[in-house]
Amino acid sequence: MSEQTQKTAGPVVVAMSGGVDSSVAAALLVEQGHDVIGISLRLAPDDSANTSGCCGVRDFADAARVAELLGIPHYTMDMRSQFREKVMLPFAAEYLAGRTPSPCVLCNREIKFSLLFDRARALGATRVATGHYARTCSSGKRVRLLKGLDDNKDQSYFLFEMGQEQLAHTLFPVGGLSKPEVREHALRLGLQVADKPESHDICFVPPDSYAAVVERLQGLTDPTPGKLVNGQGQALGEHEGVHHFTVGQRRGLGISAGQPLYVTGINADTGEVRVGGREQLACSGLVAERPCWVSGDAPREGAPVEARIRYRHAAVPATVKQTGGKLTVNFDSPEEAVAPGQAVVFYDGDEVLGGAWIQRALQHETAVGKEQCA
Amino acid sequence: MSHYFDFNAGCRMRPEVINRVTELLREDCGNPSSMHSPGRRARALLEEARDSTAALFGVAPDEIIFTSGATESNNTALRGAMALDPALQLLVSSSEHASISAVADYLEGNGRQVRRFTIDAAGHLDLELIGRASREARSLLALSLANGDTGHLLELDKLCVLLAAGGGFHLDLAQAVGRIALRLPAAVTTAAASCHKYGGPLGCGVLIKRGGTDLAPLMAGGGQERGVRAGTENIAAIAGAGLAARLARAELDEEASRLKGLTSLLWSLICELPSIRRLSPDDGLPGTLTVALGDVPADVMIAGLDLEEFAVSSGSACEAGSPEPPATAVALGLEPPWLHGVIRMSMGWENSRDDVLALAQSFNAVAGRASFAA
Repeated sequence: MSEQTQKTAGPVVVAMSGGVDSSVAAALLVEQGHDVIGISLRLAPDDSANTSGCCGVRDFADAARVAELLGIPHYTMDMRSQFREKVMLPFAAEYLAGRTPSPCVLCNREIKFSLLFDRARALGATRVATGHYARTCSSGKRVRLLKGLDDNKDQSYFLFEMGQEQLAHTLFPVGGLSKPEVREHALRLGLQVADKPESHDICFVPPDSYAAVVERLQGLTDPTPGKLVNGQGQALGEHEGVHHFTVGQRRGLGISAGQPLYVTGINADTGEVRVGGREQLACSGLVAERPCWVSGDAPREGAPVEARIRYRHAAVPATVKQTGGKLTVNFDSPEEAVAPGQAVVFYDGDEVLGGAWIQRALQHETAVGKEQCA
Repeated sequence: MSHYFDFNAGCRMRPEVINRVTELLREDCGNPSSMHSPGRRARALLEEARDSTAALFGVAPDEIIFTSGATESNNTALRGAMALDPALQLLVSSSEHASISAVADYLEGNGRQVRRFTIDAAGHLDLELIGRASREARSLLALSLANGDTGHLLELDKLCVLLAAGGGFHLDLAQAVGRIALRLPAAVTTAAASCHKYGGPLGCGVLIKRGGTDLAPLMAGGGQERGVRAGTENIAAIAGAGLAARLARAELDEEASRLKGLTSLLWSLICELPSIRRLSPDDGLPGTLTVALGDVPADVMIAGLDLEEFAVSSGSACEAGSPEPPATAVALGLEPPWLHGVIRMSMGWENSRDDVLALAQSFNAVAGRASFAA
């Protein structure tokens, strides 16, 4: 689009975390001639010892400096109470229920592409841009959601709940770039955030302390202990609460055995954390709930897709069957460590088809019996 | 051309003052404590500024101590008096500026007796109760004459007759000076203000210390400024403040009635919005109109008006830059969503009737566009 048509399309609100990706996203939009408004969202509480490199007070100052340099207005908006209610509390509740949450998906659905959208519209903006590594592509009336071009950085997994209406009003200016290219742009533009380190995965959880965050959020002073058991139900040791575990976890079990042991299942009702050898992690498929399809329609039953069962997981071939609100996913070959609570996201090559929330894994038949492994 | 409606946060220097200050920065002006001619020149400027400042505050020149601002003046008055009398209790209202409330917290944390009084839903303190407290123990009472958040005025004369004789009474005049005529009753022992609130330069403040009142200085040093405030006087700024005081005093009566008129006009133009409440009293500080919106968050309103070049605020802003609900709105019993929709429009010498008409038009437009479930 020409500069003139960019302007007439109305202002774009850029979510600026103070990191290099969203800073460059804002800068590129300005260069393309858009009328840009920067907004930083205050999400995590101030007491979360924010060392994540995004969304902390110092990071807002970074975002404000970038905005000044770019000559765009910049505002900080307080969404701490909504973030706590919609993202942080569900995160803690999931862990206590023996599941492994994916808070970034919730934040995108409940905050960035919902509340921020409302605020953008209130300011007269027609579109929202973020620094996510993902791409959109219009084909006819439909908008397709694509992986970011940089395989190492692709964040499309976190965006699978976006629908057509949201995608049609969303821009991902760095989605077609690699991280080194983004840093080059930042240097070229003289942004002082060019060499800022990567942020951690979850903004409100300092490294290696998620269990403490869960306990604080839930007001747990005395977490319920439980037993570590093997596949036959024999107790192997004790633990300090199911929220310390994730299916597939090897470290921090506190028991020694002849072979490496992994968490293969978590039962929050009984407090039992089941462990076993690596072969017991293999699952033939999974059952997932609350599916979302980017196009609005589920893929044809039995159509080959690639499934990603966690962020940074290499997508594997699978088939999907939707029955009511549930999906049964069968992997073409067994896959390890299916963690309930995580999202399963489906791809057709680079395109995100949609996804759902993992309810339980389906045990691989050659492993112990036919019981479900999680 | 932007329209500035945040005079309670800080007011722009008057052009005459800017000229005077820059002139003096270039002039051959020494240290006012020096014997030589440049020193004597500086001393003369300092004392001239003291005279004009005293006239604006309605006190004697030797009661004026120049400081860096109202924050330093409030700190010196409170901590300086409390330090000299270990048995003194501090009485404050719970809707004071942070430079009083944080000092109260600090003193309380150090084991000092602090009593807090809350305003009622109409914004009034229980004067009888404060009077009783002042008679029960030796006390220092600290209150603002005009509340910066909403413009509520203290019923000073009524209060003074209820106070125990011989107690300390510190009055924060930061918002009142230049907007209403000041006549300090004998019961007031110290008072504070910032010169930038009446058209003077930033970084210059006033501490009034009445005869017979002793204060321990905050800083040890050369004993400049009546032995209460050490540090070489900032002559250019103080002389500029003196000029600002003279200008403010000359226009005071006319300006107060002009600002009162603009306040009523502004309210009459926005009062028909579907979800608006007036928090400022009808007979409050001229020029301050604080309202609460039930359907638009303050951050959206401030950003939306900023995009149309109107500077308004919510009251105080935090380090992160997002607005916090003002303490006075909390004390008035305001609840969400109103509490998160507080907008303060504060006017001064620079605002014209046309300014107000333009603000009202944009205010209605932004509020209309932005109203969504807050």
